[in-house]
Order: sequence, then C-alpha cells, then structure tokens
Amino acid sequence: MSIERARSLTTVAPWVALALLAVPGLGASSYLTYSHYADEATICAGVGSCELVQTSSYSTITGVPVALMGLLYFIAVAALAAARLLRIPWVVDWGTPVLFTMAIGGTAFVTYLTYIEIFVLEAICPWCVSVAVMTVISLCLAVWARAIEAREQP
Amino acid sequence: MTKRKSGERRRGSRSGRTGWLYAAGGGAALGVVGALILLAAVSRGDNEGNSGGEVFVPTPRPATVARNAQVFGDPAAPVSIIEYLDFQCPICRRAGEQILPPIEQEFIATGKARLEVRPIAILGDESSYAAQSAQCAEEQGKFWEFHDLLFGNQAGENKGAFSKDNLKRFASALGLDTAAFNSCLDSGKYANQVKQDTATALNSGVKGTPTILVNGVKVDNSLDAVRVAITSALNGGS
Repeated sequence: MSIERARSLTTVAPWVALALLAVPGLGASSYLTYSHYADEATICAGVGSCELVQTSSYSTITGVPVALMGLLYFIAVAALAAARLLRIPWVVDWGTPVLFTMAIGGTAFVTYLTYIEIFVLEAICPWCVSVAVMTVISLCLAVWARAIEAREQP
Repeated sequence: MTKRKSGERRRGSRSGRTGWLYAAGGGAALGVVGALILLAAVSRGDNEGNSGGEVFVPTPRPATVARNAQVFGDPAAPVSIIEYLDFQCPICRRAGEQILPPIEQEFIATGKARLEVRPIAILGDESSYAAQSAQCAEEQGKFWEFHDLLFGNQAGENKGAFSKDNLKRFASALGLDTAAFNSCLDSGKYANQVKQDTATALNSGVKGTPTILVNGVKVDNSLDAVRVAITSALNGGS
C-alpha cells in the first residue's frame, strides 16, 4: 500500500466511523420519536424509567419533542458523513468544522438532558442515555477528524 | 495538472482555517443550546401547575352506570378492563379522554365490560398525593368524579398542580365534605396503600402508565386495540 493511499484511508477513517455510528443513532432516536408521537410506553427492557422521562415536561421544548431533535441530529450526521465519503468538495473543505460545531452543540444538549434525568427526574431512560453516549462519541470523532486535518496541513 | 492545482487550492484553503473557526463554531453551538435550555425553562414555566386558578370540574358521569369504588360498570360484566394509571401522566389523561369514553359507551354502559382503575405513583410525590386524595374522595363515594377532576386539572409534574393545598381546593370545588377530606389527606392514611399498590403493580410487570389489561392480557394504548380485545373476549377469545 502506498503512503498516499494509507494517508487517504486515515483521513476518511473518522467519517467511516461516523457513518457507522449514525446507524444505531438513527435507530434509537427514531424509536424515541415514534414512541413519543404514538403515545406508546417506551420499551425499557426492564431497566430504568423510560415512561417517566419520555412523558415528563422536559421531554418537549415549546411542543417539539427532544427525541425529534436527536433524530434530526443523527440525520444530519449521516448526511454529512455520506457527503464526506462521496468527496463532495464543499464537505471535504468544510465538513470537519461543521461536524465539530454540531457535535459541540449536541454534546452540550445531551449533557443538560442527562443532568435533568439524574438530578431532577431521578430516573434514567436507557434509550436516551444511549443517544447521549453516541452524541459524545460523534464529538470524539469530530476531534479525531480535526486532528488528522491539522496534521495534514502544510 | 488541473486536479493537482485544485487539490493545492483546497489544501491552501484548509491551511488558512485555524483554531478560531472551531472556537467560533463551538461558541455559537453552545450559545444556541443555552438559548434552547432557556426557552425550555420559559415554556415549562408557562405550563406550570394550577396553583391557585379556577378549578375545572368535568361533566359528571352518567348515573345509570353502576359503580363500586374503583370499578365502573356492572361488577358481573363478562369482560374485565383494568387500567394502571398515574394521575400526573399525560398519556393517562389522553387515555381517559380519548380511549375510555367510547369504550364506556359501547361496552360498559351496556353491561358487557367493567373498568377498574388502579392508581399508582411512579412520577413523584404529587402522584402519590393525587392517588391518596382519590381514595379520600371515595370515602364520600366520589372516586370517579375525583378521577375525572384530577385529569381535567393536570398541569405539569410535581409543580404544585397536585399539591395537598390544591387537592383540597379540588375537593371543595367538587362539593365534598372538606373537613373530612382534608383530615383524610393530611393524616396520610392511604399513603402506605398507594406505596404498596405501586410496588405490587411494578412487581407484576407493569412497566409504565397507562397499562391497560383486558381479561388480564395487556393491550396497546389505542382505542382500536382495546375495542378489538374486548370484542374478541366477548366472542370467546381470551
């Protein structure tokens, strides 16, 4: 394998990981959004208090479910990762700072929501926690992508 | 050659992108999230409890339908519907407003089914106070009126809507003997019962509210699902 090819693979590695991360992220946030709109009790697999968290007054902001915000986040992440892997020029140039900005916002928001779960509602929803963890991972991948980009800069 | 130039231009533009871009992006993102959290706090404040306003008293249920404590309908009806609910749970309120009224009309008023509600407290202290107050109202034969009134005055969770003071106002609005009601609620005589009912429900597999069982089998929280389950039970199913 040429050095050029190895470098190219390293450059796209965080984006491949991000595309893979988007799959469970979309799954979990879709389920939470569906159960919110369908008025169905969230399946908690016997762990945690999904119902409490999902029906609490913290589960919406001016009527918009936070679960839907999570879904939109992972749709954006998936679209950005796909565009970067397809080498769409604008995303090759600006994808990393855009991802970093989104991931900082996402991580700050899930930190707030997790704080509410633990200290205000005193209830944990495993689905929400998994979305929060995946959002934090997306920030780590953004930092990784940024580090690679910085290393490649002359 | 052209490709290489384009790549160099791109790399050049990237090299110009210093830390300030990331700092600005991160700062903007944090600002947006801060605004969202503020908006959430303001919008929750708008919805916070009925802590002194007018009490909404729902239309009374038809007196022609039999009732016995927490059971609405003929106790000998062939189909049993059991609903586990938390008075603070908004989905329970929607079930009470959208799913159960047609079921009461079609199956309960006609003697084909009976509905038993089992209030539990999974959403906090005010859920427990509300469940206790429904038992106190039942001492005066007004469980169902209080049940409907609680859902009609639901407003946020643990924000004062179902504080003891408010529950006493509800009892007064309903025309109950307030001295007896207040003494019942203040004594906490049903606190342990609510605690035990909640533990029993959770131990028996109830994972959230509302949980609706038709002849002991859990059904989805939709009018169609409940209707189909009752019809099937009447036709000899489970």
